[in-house]
Amino acid sequence: MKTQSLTGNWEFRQADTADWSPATVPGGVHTDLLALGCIPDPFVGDNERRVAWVAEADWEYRSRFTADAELREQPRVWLVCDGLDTLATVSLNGRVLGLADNMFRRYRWEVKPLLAEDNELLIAFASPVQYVSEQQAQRPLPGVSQAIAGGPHLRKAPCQFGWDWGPQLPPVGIWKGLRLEGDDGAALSDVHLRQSHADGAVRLSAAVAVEQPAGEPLTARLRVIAPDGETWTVEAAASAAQPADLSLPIPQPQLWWPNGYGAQPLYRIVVSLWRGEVEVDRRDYQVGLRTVELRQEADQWGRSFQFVVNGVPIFAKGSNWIPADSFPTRISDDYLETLIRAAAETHHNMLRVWGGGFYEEERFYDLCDRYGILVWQDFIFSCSVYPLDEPTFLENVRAEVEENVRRLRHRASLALWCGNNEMEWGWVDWGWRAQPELDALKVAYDRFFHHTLPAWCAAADPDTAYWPSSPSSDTPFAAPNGQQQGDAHYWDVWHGRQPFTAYRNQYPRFMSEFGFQALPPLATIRTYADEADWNMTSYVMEQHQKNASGNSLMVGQMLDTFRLPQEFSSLVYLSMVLQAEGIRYGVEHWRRQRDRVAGTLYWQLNDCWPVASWSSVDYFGRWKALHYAARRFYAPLLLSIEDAPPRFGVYVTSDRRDSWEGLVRWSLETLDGTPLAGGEEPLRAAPLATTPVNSFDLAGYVTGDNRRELVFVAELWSPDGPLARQTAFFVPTKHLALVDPQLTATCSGDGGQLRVELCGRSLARLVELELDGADVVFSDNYFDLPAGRVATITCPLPAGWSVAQARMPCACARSTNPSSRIERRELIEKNGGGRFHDKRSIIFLHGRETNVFCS
Amino acid sequence: MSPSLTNRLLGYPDDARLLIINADDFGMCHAVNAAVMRALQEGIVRSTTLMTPCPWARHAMRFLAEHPEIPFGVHLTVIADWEDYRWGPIAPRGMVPTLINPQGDFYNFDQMQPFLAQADLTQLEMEFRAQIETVLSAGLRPTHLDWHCLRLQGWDNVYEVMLRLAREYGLALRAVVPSHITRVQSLGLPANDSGFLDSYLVDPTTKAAAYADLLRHLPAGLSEWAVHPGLDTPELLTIEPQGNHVRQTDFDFLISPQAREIVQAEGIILLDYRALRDVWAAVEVERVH
Repeated sequence: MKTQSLTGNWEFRQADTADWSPATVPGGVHTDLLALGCIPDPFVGDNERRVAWVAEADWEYRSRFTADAELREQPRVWLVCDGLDTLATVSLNGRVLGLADNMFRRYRWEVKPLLAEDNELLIAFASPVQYVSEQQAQRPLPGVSQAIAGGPHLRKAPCQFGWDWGPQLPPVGIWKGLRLEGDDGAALSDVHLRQSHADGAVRLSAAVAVEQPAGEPLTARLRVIAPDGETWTVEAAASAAQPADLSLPIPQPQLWWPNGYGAQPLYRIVVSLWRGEVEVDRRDYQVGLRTVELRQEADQWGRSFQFVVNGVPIFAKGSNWIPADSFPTRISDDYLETLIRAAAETHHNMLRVWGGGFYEEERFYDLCDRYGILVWQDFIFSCSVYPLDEPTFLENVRAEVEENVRRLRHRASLALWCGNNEMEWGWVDWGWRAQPELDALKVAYDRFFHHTLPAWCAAADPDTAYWPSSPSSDTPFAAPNGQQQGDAHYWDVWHGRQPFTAYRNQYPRFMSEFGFQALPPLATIRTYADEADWNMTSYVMEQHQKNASGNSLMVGQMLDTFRLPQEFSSLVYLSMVLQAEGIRYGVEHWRRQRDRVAGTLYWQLNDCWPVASWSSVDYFGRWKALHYAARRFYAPLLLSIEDAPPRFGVYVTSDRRDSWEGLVRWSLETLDGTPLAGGEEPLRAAPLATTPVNSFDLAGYVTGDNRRELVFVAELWSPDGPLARQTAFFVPTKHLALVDPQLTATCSGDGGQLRVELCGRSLARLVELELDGADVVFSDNYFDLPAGRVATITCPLPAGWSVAQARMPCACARSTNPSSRIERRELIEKNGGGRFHDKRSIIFLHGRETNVFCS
Repeated sequence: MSPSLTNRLLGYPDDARLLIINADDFGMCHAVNAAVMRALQEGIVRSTTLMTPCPWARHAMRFLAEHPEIPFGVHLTVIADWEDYRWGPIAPRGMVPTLINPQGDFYNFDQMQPFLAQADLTQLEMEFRAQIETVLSAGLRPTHLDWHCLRLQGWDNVYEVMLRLAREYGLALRAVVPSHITRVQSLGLPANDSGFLDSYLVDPTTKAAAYADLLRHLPAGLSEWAVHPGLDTPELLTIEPQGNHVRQTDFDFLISPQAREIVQAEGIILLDYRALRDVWAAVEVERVH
């Protein structure tokens, strides 16, 4: 096969206007206009509204190109467009090749008769907003109130029309690659890789379908390259009449494991087609050897919902993934890896690719394979009623499903196909069923998600489980969000204004969504709001808060726990630690119920623009307090306190496959570190289980007078040192008798790392560290530091920095003495690695006025 | 779904289902005029808009003068749709050169985008103003402005010209494009916020059933239908040979007993633009004072 990329030399213009301007392909109208300076940055201020016209207009893209001579000589030449977003009319040299109306599909047209030496390719895009508005006027379909109405009529990422965390900025343009492909009639048309496991042996197979010119002998070849380079090959005759079945055993198979359960060895697979000694076509894959099943068995609580990998039941620890940018073509490889790595570094082993976005590109699944992240893959239907009774719509979806299932089915990371997001719940609880005009669509929903789609999936990918909807009980329209069987979304904390303690009353079999909002870090807010707008309910801040009651919900819950913040930066900090505390509270509870609850995916990992949202990592990749908390609450060995003052239950939940021995130390002490009681318990943590350590009733130590001054501290120790620390209190933080902890910081440089040791004279609650002038990820942040303990925190030293220039403002939640003094201490650098030659003293500020947060 | 801002501005309950059915193109030709007049008097149409540059505008204006109780608007027209049935500007051609083709007519619909791209906004405003003044100088009192055959998606500058004129003359203005609806509402003014239907997009072969269905399931808030009643007379069939009976099928439904019955049974409130005009004009007055 000969190919020629056509991503170069593009121009664009508003439809039928005079002037063409340079365009980037893959790309889109918004980013092209932005590059030309024709529109303001849509992510700043209220510019989203000012650029709404862009997606309401029609646009044209044009490329003039010279076709490679060798390619033109091929008997067949195709134009292949990997992704057109969305309503596109494609013309070559003035002749219309065809129409596209699904951004999730690849389109291919034969162009041999039209192709000349010099060519003009024109792709005209009709406005998606105009189209859905017209369709919606003719057939109103319930959807999401924050979105431009009518989105379900078009096969385009639903959230691009707006969501309760995303702007109404539907992109328009050529969003994936496009090229010419030429061949002589012999080509691979389908490759289905499968693996079978039995008693530790693994066999890899490929069913290879080909296109074959009449009578020509062809050979299909399967080559497997082990991680250490060892290679095995098998081949067989291939014909158009019947797919070639190639298979071979994998000697000493190295199994692929989810993150935290083992390594992720990947085998390279090459499937190729040969005419004699000439390779005419090939496809390359990476495959991890594993089995994944969704085990559902009757038990004392109903029916389990347990992912089992290589025979080991996995507690799914993860979050929900949304598109990483409103304009997806500017998501860089680096940024994508930053996000997936951020998930892996916080012990995620699962991401749910949520059904309101899009099927991700290959690079996303490549990263998930590499980092050991299982993927719960929704089909792209979300929170709406879709016209599934219209034959043309259904046929369009059929092509989309078949293509994407075939594309992704070999992935080690792929754990589940899920029909949609929250639509079954919608039919049961959101009032859709009270609208008789939707009756036919409910029937169509039932037929599609409970019969048609699972049949398509089973035909194309018999090895991956199918689940009809999230949440679902797998019994049509019966308690889709119940807790006996299936998965659940729990939103009564947040939308229902329930306190975080309500999480403890929930025992879902699998918690696939729950969440709480926070503002993004101040450095991110600075990118969209001027300081004059730094108030939570200012006009600009509310442009970047898409959940109508979001700010009220945040503040309401905040005041249950913390004191009213006095300044905006304090509010930002408190919103983040509040979110972290809330989600921690839920996850620790569900991980303690490991036999009953088989996973937690908090909503949501990431953002598509700078916004107040439920994310743990913001649009710029900055870790909010929740993401640091995830590193603690998703740790393979979780120490947790079930607090019911004056009783405290201490547990260790282990995701290890072997038992683990260590120690739990506990103490009841005053905030300034005076111990009232304490002890240590030897621990043998059972594998894949929760081990109760002890339950402490401390009623005898607590009086009405001292309860505001006490902290219960538990620590998990391995023979090598402390692994984890937890604190619990007798009163909410706002009532704690916190004082200035007088933190001291000792800093050193070590190779490319900064290292700081923090110690205080009184308990420092929810300590926040920053590195002035640089975005870094610390080894830990937003943690409690009881009196007298030392916290050693590291972070990478930014490129080109010396330790001497590092200033680390540090703040913590406080409840008293808001005007406490600022201490400066000069500390001598410990030049361990010899890299830092500047021997000047380094100044660390702790409690810089602007960063002293009052709670 | 958030409650309709428009319902509140117009003083209706949140769950009220309001519908403006506006007969576009009044004045285009005799077959359209005859149908519009009957649909206004016998059917469920409550509002119409006048195409002043067209040959049969005088006929339509005489009818409106004789029926001051019928609310109507000005159908701002700078496109001529039909190959052999043409119209052009009311302003002197020499003053609006960017609005006319070499023959001196308005551009065709299929040239709409390039026409808008090169149209001088000052000339566009001059022509719009001439069309409004034509109506006013005939002693008629319009309720609102809308437009003929313009897809304003992506042409905010043109909509802004209309918005400025609407506010100056104290008239309401149709809003179709989502960001234009937002723009109008951001000024505290009512706009259709529950769906806009262009009858040219409805399949004529199943139209009656589709309209009936849409009426039965009309959402709360203000919707608008831009309908195009006309009679399949030799005149219309000659002007619009590819018309596919859009206008006749519109007319048939709009005067049908079925339409009236559904509106009544469903409790749909049929509005015209007077209620909107009153708010538009009032907000303007408040700003002045």
